[in-house]
Amino acid sequence: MNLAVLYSGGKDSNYSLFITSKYYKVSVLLNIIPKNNESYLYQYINNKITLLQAKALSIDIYRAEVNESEEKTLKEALIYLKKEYNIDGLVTGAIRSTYQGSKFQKICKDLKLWCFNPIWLINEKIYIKELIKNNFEFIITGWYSYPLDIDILGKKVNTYILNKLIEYNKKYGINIAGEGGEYETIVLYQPLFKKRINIEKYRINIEKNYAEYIIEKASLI
Amino acid sequence: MIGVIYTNKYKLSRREFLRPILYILKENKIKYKIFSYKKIANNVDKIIITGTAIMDFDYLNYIDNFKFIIEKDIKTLAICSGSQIITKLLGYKLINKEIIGKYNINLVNENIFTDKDFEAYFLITKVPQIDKKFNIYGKLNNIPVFYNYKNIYFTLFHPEVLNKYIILKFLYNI
Repeated sequence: MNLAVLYSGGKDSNYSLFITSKYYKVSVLLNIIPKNNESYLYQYINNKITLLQAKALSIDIYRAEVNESEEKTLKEALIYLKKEYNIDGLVTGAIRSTYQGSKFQKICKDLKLWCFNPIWLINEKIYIKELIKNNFEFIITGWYSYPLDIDILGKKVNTYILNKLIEYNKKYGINIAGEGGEYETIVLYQPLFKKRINIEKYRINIEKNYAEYIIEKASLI
Repeated sequence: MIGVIYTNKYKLSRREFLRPILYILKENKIKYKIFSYKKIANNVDKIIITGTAIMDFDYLNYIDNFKFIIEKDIKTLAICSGSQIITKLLGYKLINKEIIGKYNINLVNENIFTDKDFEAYFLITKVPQIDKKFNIYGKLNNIPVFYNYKNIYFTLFHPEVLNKYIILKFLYNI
Protein backbone atom coordinates (compact mmCIF):
# COMPACT_ATOMS: atom_id res chain seq x y z
CA MET A 1 0.00 0.00 0.00
CA ASN A 2 1.52 3.25 -1.17
CA LEU A 3 -0.08 6.31 0.39
CA ALA A 4 -0.22 10.10 0.34
CA VAL A 5 -0.92 12.04 3.50
CA LEU A 6 -3.03 15.18 3.39
CA TYR A 7 -0.61 17.39 5.24
CA SER A 8 -1.15 20.80 6.85
CA GLY A 9 1.83 20.80 9.17
CA GLY A 10 -0.41 20.71 12.24
CA LYS A 11 -0.73 18.02 14.89
CA ASP A 12 -3.51 16.02 13.23
CA SER A 13 -1.82 15.43 9.89
CA ASN A 14 1.51 14.78 11.60
CA TYR A 15 0.06 12.23 13.97
CA SER A 16 -1.83 10.54 11.12
CA LEU A 17 1.47 10.37 9.21
CA PHE A 18 3.22 8.98 12.29
CA ILE A 19 0.62 6.21 12.71
CA THR A 20 0.48 5.41 8.98
CA SER A 21 4.25 5.07 8.74
CA LYS A 22 4.11 2.18 11.20
CA TYR A 23 2.18 0.12 8.66
CA TYR A 24 2.63 1.48 5.13
CA LYS A 25 4.84 3.49 2.85
CA VAL A 26 4.07 7.19 2.64
CA SER A 27 5.55 8.42 -0.62
CA VAL A 28 4.26 11.98 -0.71
CA LEU A 29 2.69 14.69 1.43
CA LEU A 30 -0.14 16.70 -0.07
CA ASN A 31 -0.48 20.26 1.18
CA ILE A 32 -3.57 22.09 -0.04
CA ILE A 33 -3.32 25.83 0.50
CA PRO A 34 -6.67 27.58 0.91
CA LYS A 35 -7.35 31.17 -0.17
CA ASN A 36 -7.77 32.42 3.41
CA ASN A 37 -8.17 31.25 7.00
CA GLU A 38 -11.91 30.69 6.62
CA SER A 39 -11.46 27.24 5.10
CA TYR A 40 -13.29 24.38 6.82
CA LEU A 41 -11.04 21.82 5.15
CA TYR A 42 -7.49 23.12 5.22
CA GLN A 43 -5.07 25.16 7.30
CA TYR A 44 -4.06 28.56 5.97
CA ILE A 45 -1.64 30.25 8.34
CA ASN A 46 2.04 29.36 8.33
CA ASN A 47 1.50 27.00 5.40
CA LYS A 48 5.03 27.57 4.04
CA ILE A 49 6.42 25.77 7.08
CA THR A 50 5.28 22.49 5.46
CA LEU A 51 8.26 22.80 3.10
CA LEU A 52 10.65 22.68 6.05
CA GLN A 53 8.67 19.87 7.67
CA ALA A 54 8.84 17.80 4.47
CA LYS A 55 12.61 18.31 4.46
CA ALA A 56 12.78 17.23 8.10
CA LEU A 57 10.79 14.13 7.16
CA SER A 58 12.68 13.44 3.93
CA ILE A 59 9.36 12.92 2.17
CA ASP A 60 8.34 14.64 -1.06
CA ILE A 61 5.68 17.30 -0.75
CA TYR A 62 3.19 18.44 -3.37
CA ARG A 63 1.62 21.83 -2.66
CA ALA A 64 -1.53 22.91 -4.46
CA GLU A 65 -3.10 26.33 -4.12
CA VAL A 66 -6.88 26.42 -4.22
CA ASN A 67 -8.19 27.87 -7.47
CA GLU A 68 -11.88 27.39 -8.19
CA SER A 69 -12.89 25.25 -5.25
CA GLU A 70 -11.17 23.36 -2.46
CA GLU A 71 -12.69 20.06 -3.53
CA LYS A 72 -11.71 20.47 -7.16
CA THR A 73 -8.15 21.35 -6.14
CA LEU A 74 -7.93 18.23 -3.97
CA LYS A 75 -9.32 16.07 -6.75
CA GLU A 76 -6.88 17.43 -9.33
CA ALA A 77 -3.97 17.05 -6.93
CA LEU A 78 -4.89 13.43 -6.23
CA ILE A 79 -5.17 12.66 -9.93
CA TYR A 80 -1.65 14.05 -10.30
CA LEU A 81 -0.30 12.06 -7.34
CA LYS A 82 -1.93 8.88 -8.58
CA LYS A 83 -0.10 9.29 -11.85
CA GLU A 84 3.24 10.56 -10.54
CA TYR A 85 3.56 8.59 -7.30
CA ASN A 86 1.28 5.67 -8.05
CA ILE A 87 -0.56 6.15 -4.76
CA ASP A 88 -3.25 3.69 -3.67
CA GLY A 89 -4.86 5.95 -1.15
CA LEU A 90 -5.00 9.09 0.94
CA VAL A 91 -4.59 9.48 4.70
CA THR A 92 -6.31 12.40 6.38
CA GLY A 93 -6.28 13.85 9.89
CA ALA A 94 -10.05 14.21 10.13
CA ILE A 95 -11.24 13.63 13.69
CA ARG A 96 -14.92 14.34 14.01
CA SER A 97 -16.11 16.63 11.23
CA THR A 98 -18.58 14.75 9.04
CA TYR A 99 -18.32 17.66 6.59
CA GLN A 100 -14.56 17.14 6.21
CA GLY A 101 -14.79 13.37 6.42
CA SER A 102 -17.44 12.95 3.74
CA LYS A 103 -15.72 15.35 1.30
CA PHE A 104 -12.47 13.37 1.51
CA GLN A 105 -14.25 10.01 1.34
CA LYS A 106 -16.26 10.97 -1.73
CA ILE A 107 -13.33 12.38 -3.69
CA CYS A 108 -11.24 9.28 -2.92
CA LYS A 109 -14.07 6.97 -3.89
CA ASP A 110 -14.54 8.79 -7.22
CA LEU A 111 -10.83 8.31 -7.94
CA LYS A 112 -10.80 4.69 -6.72
CA LEU A 113 -8.42 5.57 -3.91
CA TRP A 114 -8.50 4.20 -0.39
CA CYS A 115 -9.29 6.79 2.26
CA PHE A 116 -7.85 6.29 5.72
CA ASN A 117 -8.63 8.41 8.76
CA PRO A 118 -6.53 6.93 11.57
CA ILE A 119 -7.61 9.45 14.21
CA TRP A 120 -11.31 9.43 13.34
CA LEU A 121 -13.44 9.74 16.52
CA ILE A 122 -10.37 9.56 18.72
CA ASN A 123 -10.96 10.61 22.32
CA GLU A 124 -9.56 14.14 22.30
CA LYS A 125 -8.08 14.09 25.78
CA ILE A 126 -6.37 10.74 25.22
CA TYR A 127 -5.19 12.00 21.83
CA ILE A 128 -3.39 15.09 23.17
CA LYS A 129 -1.84 12.92 25.90
CA GLU A 130 -0.65 10.46 23.23
CA LEU A 131 0.97 13.30 21.28
CA ILE A 132 2.82 14.50 24.36
CA LYS A 133 3.82 10.95 25.29
CA ASN A 134 5.17 10.35 21.78
CA ASN A 135 7.38 13.45 21.99
CA PHE A 136 5.43 15.57 19.55
CA GLU A 137 6.53 19.15 19.94
CA PHE A 138 3.77 21.45 18.69
CA ILE A 139 2.72 24.98 19.32
CA ILE A 140 -0.62 26.75 19.07
CA THR A 141 -0.43 29.19 16.15
CA GLY A 142 -4.01 30.33 15.85
CA TRP A 143 -6.71 30.89 18.46
CA TYR A 144 -10.20 31.42 17.07
CA SER A 145 -12.53 30.99 20.00
CA TYR A 146 -13.78 32.63 23.15
CA PRO A 147 -12.04 33.46 25.45
CA LEU A 148 -9.40 35.08 23.26
CA ASP A 149 -6.27 33.66 24.91
CA ILE A 150 -3.29 35.49 23.45
CA ASP A 151 -0.86 34.04 25.97
CA ILE A 152 -1.44 30.53 24.67
CA LEU A 153 -0.06 31.45 21.24
CA GLY A 154 3.38 30.03 20.53
CA LYS A 155 3.29 27.84 23.61
CA LYS A 156 4.39 24.23 23.28
CA VAL A 157 1.49 21.98 24.15
CA ASN A 158 2.31 20.09 27.32
CA THR A 159 0.32 18.85 30.28
CA TYR A 160 -0.14 22.41 31.55
CA ILE A 161 -1.62 23.58 28.23
CA LEU A 162 -3.71 20.40 28.00
CA ASN A 163 -5.22 21.20 31.40
CA LYS A 164 -5.96 24.70 30.15
CA LEU A 165 -7.73 23.24 27.10
CA ILE A 166 -9.71 20.91 29.37
CA GLU A 167 -10.68 23.89 31.51
CA TYR A 168 -11.83 25.82 28.39
CA ASN A 169 -13.75 22.75 27.31
CA LYS A 170 -15.61 22.62 30.62
CA LYS A 171 -16.27 26.38 30.83
CA TYR A 172 -16.84 27.32 27.20
CA GLY A 173 -17.37 24.02 25.37
CA ILE A 174 -14.33 24.25 23.10
CA ASN A 175 -13.17 21.00 21.57
CA ILE A 176 -9.99 19.86 23.33
CA ALA A 177 -8.38 18.88 20.03
CA GLY A 178 -9.53 22.07 18.29
CA GLU A 179 -11.68 20.02 15.93
CA GLY A 180 -14.28 22.76 15.77
CA GLY A 181 -11.66 25.16 14.42
CA GLU A 182 -11.04 26.63 17.89
CA TYR A 183 -7.29 26.59 17.39
CA GLU A 184 -4.55 25.61 14.92
CA THR A 185 -1.14 24.12 15.59
CA ILE A 186 2.22 23.67 13.91
CA VAL A 187 4.47 20.72 14.67
CA LEU A 188 8.10 21.65 15.32
CA TYR A 189 9.25 18.11 15.98
CA GLN A 190 7.85 14.60 15.88
CA PRO A 191 9.62 11.21 15.97
CA LEU A 192 9.77 10.94 12.16
CA PHE A 193 11.57 14.30 11.84
CA LYS A 194 15.31 14.02 11.28
CA LYS A 195 15.74 17.66 12.29
CA ARG A 196 13.83 20.17 14.41
CA ILE A 197 12.07 23.32 13.21
CA ASN A 198 13.60 26.38 14.82
CA ILE A 199 11.51 29.54 14.76
CA GLU A 200 13.81 32.51 14.32
CA LYS A 201 11.27 35.30 13.90
CA TYR A 202 7.54 35.62 14.46
CA ARG A 203 4.85 38.17 15.06
CA ILE A 204 1.51 38.04 16.83
CA ASN A 205 -1.50 39.27 14.91
CA ILE A 206 -4.46 40.16 17.12
CA GLU A 207 -7.88 40.74 15.60
CA LYS A 208 -11.25 41.32 17.27
CA ASN A 209 -12.21 37.64 17.56
CA TYR A 210 -9.02 35.78 16.94
CA ALA A 211 -5.25 35.92 17.27
CA GLU A 212 -2.47 34.30 15.27
CA TYR A 213 1.19 33.49 15.70
CA ILE A 214 2.75 34.15 12.32
CA ILE A 215 6.10 32.52 11.67
CA GLU A 216 8.25 34.91 9.62
CA LYS A 217 11.51 33.00 9.60
CA ALA A 218 12.32 29.42 10.49
CA SER A 219 15.06 26.90 9.85
CA LEU A 220 15.98 23.29 10.50
CA ILE A 221 18.48 22.50 13.22
CA MET B 1 -19.58 -10.90 26.87
CA ILE B 2 -19.84 -8.74 23.75
CA GLY B 3 -18.08 -9.96 20.63
CA VAL B 4 -16.87 -7.22 18.34
CA ILE B 5 -16.15 -8.47 14.85
CA TYR B 6 -14.18 -6.11 12.66
CA THR B 7 -14.51 -6.28 8.88
CA ASN B 8 -11.38 -4.29 7.98
CA LYS B 9 -8.80 -5.66 5.61
CA TYR B 10 -6.22 -3.05 6.62
CA LYS B 11 -5.00 -2.25 10.13
CA LEU B 12 -5.35 1.49 9.55
CA SER B 13 -9.09 1.06 8.99
CA ARG B 14 -9.43 -0.63 12.35
CA ARG B 15 -8.45 2.63 14.02
CA GLU B 16 -11.28 4.29 12.16
CA PHE B 17 -14.06 1.73 12.48
CA LEU B 18 -13.23 -0.64 15.34
CA ARG B 19 -11.65 1.71 17.87
CA PRO B 20 -14.70 4.04 18.19
CA ILE B 21 -16.86 1.02 19.09
CA LEU B 22 -14.30 -0.11 21.66
CA TYR B 23 -14.30 3.40 23.17
CA ILE B 24 -18.03 3.12 23.79
CA LEU B 25 -17.66 -0.30 25.39
CA LYS B 26 -14.76 0.86 27.56
CA GLU B 27 -16.58 4.04 28.63
CA ASN B 28 -19.45 1.87 29.78
CA LYS B 29 -17.19 -0.74 31.40
CA ILE B 30 -18.62 -3.48 29.20
CA LYS B 31 -16.50 -6.60 28.67
CA TYR B 32 -15.72 -7.48 25.09
CA LYS B 33 -13.69 -9.77 22.86
CA ILE B 34 -12.40 -8.75 19.44
CA PHE B 35 -12.65 -11.08 16.44
CA SER B 36 -11.45 -10.83 12.88
CA TYR B 37 -13.94 -11.35 10.06
CA LYS B 38 -11.61 -14.11 8.88
CA LYS B 39 -12.43 -16.25 11.91
CA ILE B 40 -15.59 -17.49 13.59
CA ALA B 41 -16.43 -15.67 16.81
CA ASN B 42 -17.26 -17.80 19.83
CA ASN B 43 -18.41 -17.65 23.46
CA VAL B 44 -20.23 -14.35 23.15
CA ASP B 45 -23.75 -13.27 24.15
CA LYS B 46 -24.10 -10.35 21.79
CA ILE B 47 -22.27 -9.21 18.70
CA ILE B 48 -21.41 -5.92 17.09
CA ILE B 49 -20.11 -6.11 13.51
CA THR B 50 -18.20 -2.96 12.58
CA GLY B 51 -18.11 -1.14 9.26
CA THR B 52 -15.11 -0.63 7.04
CA ALA B 53 -13.58 1.57 4.33
CA ILE B 54 -15.53 2.32 1.16
CA MET B 55 -13.01 0.50 -1.04
CA ASP B 56 -12.93 -2.56 1.22
CA PHE B 57 -15.01 -5.60 0.19
CA ASP B 58 -12.66 -8.33 1.37
CA TYR B 59 -15.18 -9.36 4.05
CA LEU B 60 -17.54 -10.59 1.32
CA ASN B 61 -15.10 -13.48 0.82
CA TYR B 62 -15.66 -14.61 4.40
CA ILE B 63 -19.41 -14.36 4.92
CA ASP B 64 -19.73 -18.02 5.92
CA ASN B 65 -17.88 -17.14 9.13
CA PHE B 66 -21.02 -15.23 10.13
CA LYS B 67 -23.55 -18.03 9.51
CA PHE B 68 -23.63 -18.94 13.20
CA ILE B 69 -25.22 -15.58 13.99
CA ILE B 70 -28.31 -16.51 11.97
CA GLU B 71 -28.30 -20.17 12.98
CA LYS B 72 -28.10 -19.37 16.70
CA ASP B 73 -30.09 -16.13 16.38
CA ILE B 74 -27.51 -14.19 18.38
CA LYS B 75 -28.40 -10.63 19.28
CA THR B 76 -26.39 -8.63 16.78
CA LEU B 77 -25.89 -5.05 15.72
CA ALA B 78 -24.71 -5.16 12.12
CA ILE B 79 -23.17 -1.85 11.07
CA CYS B 80 -22.80 -1.01 7.36
CA SER B 81 -20.61 -3.84 5.96
CA GLY B 82 -22.01 -5.99 8.76
CA SER B 83 -25.49 -5.39 7.33
CA GLN B 84 -24.27 -6.36 3.89
CA ILE B 85 -22.82 -9.62 5.22
CA ILE B 86 -25.91 -10.74 7.12
CA THR B 87 -28.42 -9.77 4.44
CA LYS B 88 -26.31 -11.54 1.84
CA LEU B 89 -26.30 -14.66 4.03
CA LEU B 90 -30.08 -14.37 4.27
CA GLY B 91 -30.20 -14.53 0.49
CA TYR B 92 -30.67 -10.88 -0.44
CA LYS B 93 -28.84 -8.98 -3.15
CA LEU B 94 -26.70 -5.89 -2.75
CA ILE B 95 -27.42 -3.14 -5.23
CA ASN B 96 -25.10 -0.28 -6.13
CA LYS B 97 -26.16 2.88 -4.34
CA GLU B 98 -23.74 5.48 -3.09
CA ILE B 99 -24.62 7.19 0.19
CA ILE B 100 -21.72 9.19 1.63
CA GLY B 101 -22.11 11.89 4.27
CA LYS B 102 -24.63 13.10 6.84
CA TYR B 103 -28.31 12.58 6.00
CA ASN B 104 -31.65 12.84 7.73
CA ILE B 105 -33.39 9.53 8.35
CA ASN B 106 -37.17 9.37 8.47
CA LEU B 107 -38.61 7.18 11.14
CA VAL B 108 -41.22 4.86 9.62
CA ASN B 109 -42.00 2.49 12.48
CA GLU B 110 -41.88 2.45 16.24
CA ASN B 111 -38.77 0.95 17.73
CA ILE B 112 -36.82 0.75 20.96
CA PHE B 113 -33.99 2.96 19.69
CA THR B 114 -35.63 6.26 18.89
CA ASP B 115 -39.02 7.92 18.50
CA LYS B 116 -38.13 10.62 16.00
CA ASP B 117 -36.28 11.34 12.76
CA PHE B 118 -32.53 11.64 13.16
CA GLU B 119 -29.33 12.49 11.35
CA ALA B 120 -26.79 9.78 10.60
CA TYR B 121 -23.43 9.43 8.88
CA PHE B 122 -23.14 7.10 5.90
CA LEU B 123 -20.19 5.56 4.04
CA ILE B 124 -21.77 2.99 1.78
CA THR B 125 -21.84 2.14 -1.92
CA LYS B 126 -23.86 -1.11 -1.90
CA VAL B 127 -27.27 -1.33 -0.29
CA PRO B 128 -29.08 -4.59 0.59
CA GLN B 129 -32.35 -5.08 -1.28
CA ILE B 130 -34.54 -6.33 1.54
CA ASP B 131 -38.23 -7.34 1.67
CA LYS B 132 -41.18 -7.42 4.05
CA LYS B 133 -39.56 -10.00 6.34
CA PHE B 134 -37.70 -7.11 7.94
CA ASN B 135 -39.13 -4.58 10.39
CA ILE B 136 -38.09 -1.30 8.86
CA TYR B 137 -37.42 1.48 11.37
CA GLY B 138 -35.88 4.21 9.26
CA LYS B 139 -35.62 5.20 5.63
CA LEU B 140 -33.52 7.62 3.63
CA ASN B 141 -35.28 8.72 0.43
CA ASN B 142 -37.39 5.58 0.56
CA ILE B 143 -34.34 3.32 1.00
CA PRO B 144 -34.51 1.22 4.19
CA VAL B 145 -31.37 2.05 6.19
CA PHE B 146 -32.31 0.98 9.71
CA TYR B 147 -34.14 -2.30 10.25
CA ASN B 148 -34.44 -5.54 12.16
CA TYR B 149 -34.85 -9.25 11.47
CA LYS B 150 -35.36 -11.55 14.47
CA ASN B 151 -32.54 -10.64 16.90
CA ILE B 152 -30.42 -8.86 14.34
CA TYR B 153 -30.41 -5.06 13.99
CA PHE B 154 -29.10 -3.45 10.85
CA THR B 155 -27.76 0.08 10.37
CA LEU B 156 -26.47 1.05 6.94
CA PHE B 157 -25.09 4.16 8.62
CA HIS B 158 -22.36 4.41 11.26
CA PRO B 159 -24.09 4.93 14.63
CA GLU B 160 -20.74 5.40 16.37
CA VAL B 161 -20.45 8.81 14.68
CA LEU B 162 -23.74 10.59 15.46
CA ASN B 163 -25.97 8.01 17.13
CA LYS B 164 -24.11 6.44 20.05
CA TYR B 165 -27.47 5.99 21.78
CA ILE B 166 -28.36 3.28 19.23
CA ILE B 167 -25.31 1.29 20.29
CA LEU B 168 -26.05 1.86 23.96
CA LYS B 169 -29.70 0.80 23.56
CA PHE B 170 -28.52 -2.32 21.78
CA LEU B 171 -26.11 -3.05 24.61
CA TYR B 172 -28.50 -2.35 27.48
CA ASN B 173 -32.04 -2.85 26.19
CA ILE B 174 -31.93 -5.64 23.63
